Amino acid sequence: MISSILISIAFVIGIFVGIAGMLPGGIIPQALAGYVLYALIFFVGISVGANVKIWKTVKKMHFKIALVPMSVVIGTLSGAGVFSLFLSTITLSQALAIGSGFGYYSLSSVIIAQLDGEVLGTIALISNLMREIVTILAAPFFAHYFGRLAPIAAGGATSMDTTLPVITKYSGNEYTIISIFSGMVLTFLVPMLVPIFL
Amino acid sequence: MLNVSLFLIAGIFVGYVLRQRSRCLSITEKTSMLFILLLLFLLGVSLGRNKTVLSNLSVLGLQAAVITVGGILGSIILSFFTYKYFFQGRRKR
Repeated sequence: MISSILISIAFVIGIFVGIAGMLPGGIIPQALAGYVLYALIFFVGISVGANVKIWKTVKKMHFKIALVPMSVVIGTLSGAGVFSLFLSTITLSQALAIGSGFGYYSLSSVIIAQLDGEVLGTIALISNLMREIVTILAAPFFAHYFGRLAPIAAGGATSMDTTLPVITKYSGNEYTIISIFSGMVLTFLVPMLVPIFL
Repeated sequence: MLNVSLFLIAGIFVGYVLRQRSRCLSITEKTSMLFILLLLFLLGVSLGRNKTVLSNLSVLGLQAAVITVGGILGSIILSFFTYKYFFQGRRKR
């Protein structure tokens, strides 16, 4: 929660600094942002590698638990791909990159901003933030009409933390571990999938 | 594009080696957060500088919404079938 507020503050302060022209073009070279991104990706990789828990969960649970994040990946990419046909300015691969954020708006938007540009980065930020908010608001509706896995699927990468309380409430306690597992797998997939499409 | 994947894979190896060192890992997570904040700040700056994008923010929001709706719809529809055939069905039998 605190981190979402910090993230929004950093972004909004950045916008005002940009509007006011306080940071003239040359001061922060584009290359620097690139190096910071690579360092960030390296550190994200460290957290992934250190997390052995996740594989133990698969061994303990039935293999079918892996079907949950798999459904989210295939479903999200198909849906985002089909809906991108309605948008004339966004290409299929750009839409797939945005969809691959799975609600992890901070990481996906900075990767996309670096690889494509600030316009697509901003769309990715808004889109993935919306995914989190819609999940929190519509979880009871999703659970009622699309089954207990639906709130987990809608939450994407956020189903391990920010949307977990609402998922537990409407999918039931027995889906908590599945929700955390799916969120972890998707969180790890974000930095792998996003660059593939750009 | 390729570079991002290379850095990620290198990180995964280092993380696996360091998996028992919880102090190292907490420093790693704090540094990641700091980098994310810095990059989002820079994204904000380049957005703020770009007057045409800034005045079209509602258009960007609409495009974002279309992709969000597509992604959520696709994933809940597929999860419905996964639920029906692999989770709900087994319990009934």
